[in-house]
Amino acid sequence: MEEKRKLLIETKDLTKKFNDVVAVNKVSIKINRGEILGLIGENGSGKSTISSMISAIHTVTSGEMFLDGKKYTPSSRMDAIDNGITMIVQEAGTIDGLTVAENIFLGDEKRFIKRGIVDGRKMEEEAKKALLSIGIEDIEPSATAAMLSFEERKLVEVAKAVYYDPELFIVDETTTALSQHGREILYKLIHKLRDDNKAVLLISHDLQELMDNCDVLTVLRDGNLVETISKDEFNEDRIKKSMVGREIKGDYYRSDYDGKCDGKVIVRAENLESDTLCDVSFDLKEGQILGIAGLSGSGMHELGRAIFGLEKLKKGRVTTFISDKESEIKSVKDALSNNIGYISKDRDKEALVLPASIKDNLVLANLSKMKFFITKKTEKEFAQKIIDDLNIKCSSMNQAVGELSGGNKQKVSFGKWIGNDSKIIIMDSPTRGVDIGVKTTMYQLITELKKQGYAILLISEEMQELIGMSDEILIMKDGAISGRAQRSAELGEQDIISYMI
Amino acid sequence: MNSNKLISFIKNNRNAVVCYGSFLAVVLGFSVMTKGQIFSAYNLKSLIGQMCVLMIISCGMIFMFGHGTVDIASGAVAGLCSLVITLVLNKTENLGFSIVISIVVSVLLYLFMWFVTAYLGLMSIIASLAVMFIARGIVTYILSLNDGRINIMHYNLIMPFKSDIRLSIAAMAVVIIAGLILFNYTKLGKYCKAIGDNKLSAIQSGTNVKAVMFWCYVIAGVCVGIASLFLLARGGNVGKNIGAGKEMDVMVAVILGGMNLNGGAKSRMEAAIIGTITYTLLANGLTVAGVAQEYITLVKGIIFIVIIGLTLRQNKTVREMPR
Amino acid sequence: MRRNIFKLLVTAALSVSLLTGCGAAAGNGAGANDGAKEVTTIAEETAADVNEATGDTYKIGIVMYQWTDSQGENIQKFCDYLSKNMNVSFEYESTYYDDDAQLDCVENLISKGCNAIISGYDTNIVAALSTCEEAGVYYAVALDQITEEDLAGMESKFFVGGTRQFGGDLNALGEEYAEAVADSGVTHIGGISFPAWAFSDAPAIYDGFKNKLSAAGITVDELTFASGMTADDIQQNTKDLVNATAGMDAIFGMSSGLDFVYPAIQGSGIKLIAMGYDTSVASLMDSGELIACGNNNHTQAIASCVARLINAIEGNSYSDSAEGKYNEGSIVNGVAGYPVIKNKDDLADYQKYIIPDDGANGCVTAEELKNCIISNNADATLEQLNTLTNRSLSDIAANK
Repeated sequence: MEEKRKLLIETKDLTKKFNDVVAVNKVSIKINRGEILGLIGENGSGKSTISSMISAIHTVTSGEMFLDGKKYTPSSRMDAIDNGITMIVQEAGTIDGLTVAENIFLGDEKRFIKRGIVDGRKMEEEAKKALLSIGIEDIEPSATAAMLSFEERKLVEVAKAVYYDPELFIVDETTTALSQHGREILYKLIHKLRDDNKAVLLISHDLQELMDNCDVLTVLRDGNLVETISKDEFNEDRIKKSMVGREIKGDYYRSDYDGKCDGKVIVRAENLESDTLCDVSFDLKEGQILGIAGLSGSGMHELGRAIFGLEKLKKGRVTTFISDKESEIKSVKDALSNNIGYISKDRDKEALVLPASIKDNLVLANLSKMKFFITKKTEKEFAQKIIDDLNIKCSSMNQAVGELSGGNKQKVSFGKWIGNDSKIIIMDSPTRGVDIGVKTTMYQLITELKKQGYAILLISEEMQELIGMSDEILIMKDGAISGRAQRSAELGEQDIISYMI
Repeated sequence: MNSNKLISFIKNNRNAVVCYGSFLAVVLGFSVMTKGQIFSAYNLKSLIGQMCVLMIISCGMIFMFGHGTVDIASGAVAGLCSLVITLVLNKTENLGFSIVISIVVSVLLYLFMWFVTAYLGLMSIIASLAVMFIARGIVTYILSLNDGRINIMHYNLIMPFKSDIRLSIAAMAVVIIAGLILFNYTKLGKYCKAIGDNKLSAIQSGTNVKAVMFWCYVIAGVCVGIASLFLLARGGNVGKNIGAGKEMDVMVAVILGGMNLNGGAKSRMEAAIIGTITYTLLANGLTVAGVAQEYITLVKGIIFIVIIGLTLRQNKTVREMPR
Repeated sequence: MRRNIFKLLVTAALSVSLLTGCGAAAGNGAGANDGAKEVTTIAEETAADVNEATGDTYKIGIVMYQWTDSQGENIQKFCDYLSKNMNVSFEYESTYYDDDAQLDCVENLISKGCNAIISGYDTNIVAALSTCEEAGVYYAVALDQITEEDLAGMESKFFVGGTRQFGGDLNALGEEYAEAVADSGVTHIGGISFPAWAFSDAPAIYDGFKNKLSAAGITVDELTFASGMTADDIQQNTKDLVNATAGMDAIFGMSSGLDFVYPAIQGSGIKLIAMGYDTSVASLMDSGELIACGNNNHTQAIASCVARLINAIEGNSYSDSAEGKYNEGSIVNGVAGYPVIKNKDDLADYQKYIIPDDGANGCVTAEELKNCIISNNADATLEQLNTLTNRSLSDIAANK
């Protein structure tokens, strides 16, 4: 088996600089046919940059690449595709206004041109085939992309990538956006590609996922190649250690298993009903971490929005009891004045103002508590305290948030709510797209917040995270709560999944 | 190393560099070309009068551009307000009253735009287009009933707003200082910029978008109402074209000042202030420098393209960014 | 930090320039109350530098809508000629059709050191005049007559009046057009003009035209006013008029006849009598589509203003200026003719004398104009000037 694997792509001393910052430093890797190669490393370790150079999204600063032994210098992304290299990424890659079929064949419509007109039906038939080939049956090629959920759109991209018979298929941190179902489809697909003697490059933060699927794992740190590990040597602790270059202690999540909470009820949701929610009731107490589990479409995200006053409720009410004062939450304004903070799942589009500075972002959520006139000094002191408290890494507080790494961005969105004295924080997928090092900090922070008496609603698609952090987990299905699980050492993923499906 | 630092400084502060750079270039260029004539006492006085209307409107418009509304009605509204001042002044001879009415009319028109945008969900530029036509239409209609022009029967009442530049300076100073404070040191300005960059995120951070927009429109309205007084004083009567094209002058001026019309965090009140001065100097300096009329449009065009080209480059990611 | 220093520098530069401006303003404000004499110092101050270089030359600024059309080019040609043959020089400014810019233009010209300003139109006259008065600069309007109503009660010794167009006699102009039409064989004529508020002289011209032709037995309909000022408005209204009137075989296009009216009747067989002139006149006359056309004599208008301004600068005034033929109440108006081109001979004369390449061949020569300036000729009168600048095409030709 081992000898049969033929070299497809090789990089030699591949280097990428963004201005003066070295993102990838003299990395030489080999990607073989019939192999799934995993790339792992903290955010900023250079994983995405390497894949971007191979697929010609980024230019190469120095070093060489060889494809099938010949020198490979792709000029554009289309050029890379022509060379058999396709890639799907974390961000949205579909265009909302176009249909599924049009998205799949974007840039390649000329194949369907008959007498100067694009034959829409033929295109849709072909699109259907492309979708079926990766095992998707319930997406209509004629539907517009905007009508699909995020996951469905990702799967359309996968279908597109695979349709062109790639020699190398790159999956760049896509799985975080997918539900279990979507992941299954993707896993099946990459295994099939491997068996067809193609190559797959899988980039992910999810170590378990990589260990389950990859044949070889390459670990990167700060743009340098640390080591390449073959499957028989996979060992979680070893990989983690080589990623961060230091020992990660066992208490990655909370170390205690005490799920009891004696705090006062601080938020009460009663019979919430909206377009997606269906008779949801629960209490959230001071010092409690309440986890919300579910598949995408189960209403878990909408529940978070509802508590923050963003979702239009048809029935039911959300009440807070801050300092024994009872108030109903009907709008964001109510939520803010009753010390609720909300961290959206879509960090870049909703939680943060990317072009604005760190200072501006931190101050923004706190403005309603500030006087009408705000001096530079007030702002600076306020922002500096949060930056210090959360150890946000930045060149200055005037740096645009958009320039920060994923983890530091998330720290800023945490900081917004910690800074404005929120007592209740709703976190929707707080560790999405964040590397292990930052995750650890986040979990420590969440635990610290709990100790300080914050009430936390933790909405997450990562089962391990919920089990590891929550005092109690509510499992949602079809907009309703389908099950509850108390914190315990014995609680496993299977216990929760059974309520989800 | 030092030159590298300078280059990265320029890159990171392109707005400011364009803003002050073009200002300095115009000032220095014309002081050489006119042998210092643009700094003659008379010309400085003229410049202040010439920039007054534009300055006041531009400062107000920063609040509109800042939150992402491109307003194209300011010229037409200013024209209508000038007409209103004239009519009220001719009837009552009460200057204060006519100014108040002018500001009220302007604010009402802007609030109409606000209502249409905030509650009926129409694109803000469409709302301002509608108001532009309404205001322009009223002016044209009333003028057509009056031989195409309405004179101010008591020009001496309003003439000080043209001749006494202390009034111009005072009005500009008040608007500039109020603008700087409101835009940089209050909640309003900060919310305004956040909406311009990312409305969703602003909402989730507790911004009452409608209320913030309300005040932005009110400020714009007040500024246009005040500017109308100076516009009228400099016009001396109301003709059918009064105020026409001012909205474009405002846009060019703030772009010269390094403003991005999409608004957001990079919006600066200085863009209106310096931009207006540069723009006014440019028109004045070319004549005083004796550039032949045939070439003035061309020269202006070239200068605009160069300066605006420099400003716009900031919007494109020139450098490759890590994904 | 560096940015802050930068800001500081700019702010400092700005404050300095603003402060100087303030000082001047205060001085000027005080002067305005003490009378015009003291005020003039500012203009003289700025004018002084220029005058030193060029000797005892008067600098006259001219504001027009634009300078790149044929009107602007002709005026510039004439001004060049005058500046070579008289002690005047000219500076030009344009509003680019933005009325709000009129005052800016006037101020800029004063900054350039102009002793007097000619405005093409009566745009923003009150404001412009008060600015000129503050600066001690004389002001004349070249292409419009001015009434007391225009000045809205303002009086100023720095205003030397407007310039009556159409030879000062609207009825006579209409009759002159009628003469050209009478023998052309047309039987039924309609008329179209800009809206009444925009071209208030049109009815009087049309009356003279209509009365004369009616007497000769030719049907002339009532004048139609267009609904707007644009080319589209005029063309649509012209087409409507043609369609609504059976038997019409000619039209008096008073609203920019060649540019706006002709396109609407092209190919319809209807003949054109036009107010306006352009380079297509020769060919349209050859083809018989154009019966007559005419144009303002810009040379005469500018000449009239220049003579009056120089007199004013030199502190002279005509003995008969108060009872000028074209005055409106207390306002002095000069006059400029309106040559009507009735045939190819007229056209040749027009090109030779009204829009000559060399001003010496033109309808007003420097020598003729100097003779109307009191410092050259103590006996000069306004009537003499008005006669000079209101000669008809045939008078001019006869004089050469």
